Amino acid sequence: MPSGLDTVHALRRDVALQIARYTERLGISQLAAAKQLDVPQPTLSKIVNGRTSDLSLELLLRIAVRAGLRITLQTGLVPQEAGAFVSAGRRSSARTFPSKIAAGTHASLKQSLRELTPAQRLEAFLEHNQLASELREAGRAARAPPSAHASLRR
Amino acid sequence: MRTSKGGQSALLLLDVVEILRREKVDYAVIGAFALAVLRVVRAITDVDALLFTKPGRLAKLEKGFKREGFDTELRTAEADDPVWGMLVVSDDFGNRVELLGGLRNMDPEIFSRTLEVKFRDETSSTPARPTRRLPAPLTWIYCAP
Repeated sequence: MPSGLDTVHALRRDVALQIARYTERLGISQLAAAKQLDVPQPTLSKIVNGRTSDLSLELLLRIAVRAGLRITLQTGLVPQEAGAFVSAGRRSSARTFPSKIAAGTHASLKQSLRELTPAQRLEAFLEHNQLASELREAGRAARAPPSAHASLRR
Repeated sequence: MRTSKGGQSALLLLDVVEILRREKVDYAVIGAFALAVLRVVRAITDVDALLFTKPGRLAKLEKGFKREGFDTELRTAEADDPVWGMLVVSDDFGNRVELLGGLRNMDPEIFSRTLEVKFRDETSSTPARPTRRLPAPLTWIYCAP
């Protein structure tokens, strides 16, 4: 039986990523952002740089709450399925599109989903989630710096 | 086609990409599916891509997709719509790839901010057509919030 520790690590990384993106959006110095979030600047530096190994998930969630982020945590059968999602805080039914064409396409997508049975819908979401998880891993590989190989050659 | 059931819009995208590459149309995957690259996996079933092309070309592309056996729907926008055209490519399983024909006043430089991600490389096989060559690395774009 999996211990779930890797899932917690993945969630920590994801919540940290959301906080890092939030601080980036603020457009202020890290020190100012740390003051705003009521955390020591070195702690925020760890979060921004993804060094979350000695930060608890609880602390990260408390910082996310202070930032006003609406975060949904998801676990899965494997750590790769775990994630932290930021919600815009509004219902999808109230979603507005600046583009009529995008709105029409969205409506047609919803209609096509309604034509599926609940079991088919669930299966489709699971299948898609599997492929998205695959992409997530591919993205991780793409974003990995090539420095490891470079330093070995030195 | 690589798809064999619902929920495989990402595989449909690979088919679509083959045609886009053949037609030399630049593209970038955007939206919720592209967010997976940033480790955010959301509950959606379609895939969106932004094309760098012209309105007339989108209609030609539609014909090309039809010839290849895809279901298509071309939507053209009103003059004030920021998206000037949308081509929806789908299959019998309900998989969908929505191709935004372009955004009004879009800076072509936006494509320089894409991240190339290799998704299912050439050595991978798919049950439907195991010997078929998969496309070269895909280009993904993710928009900063």
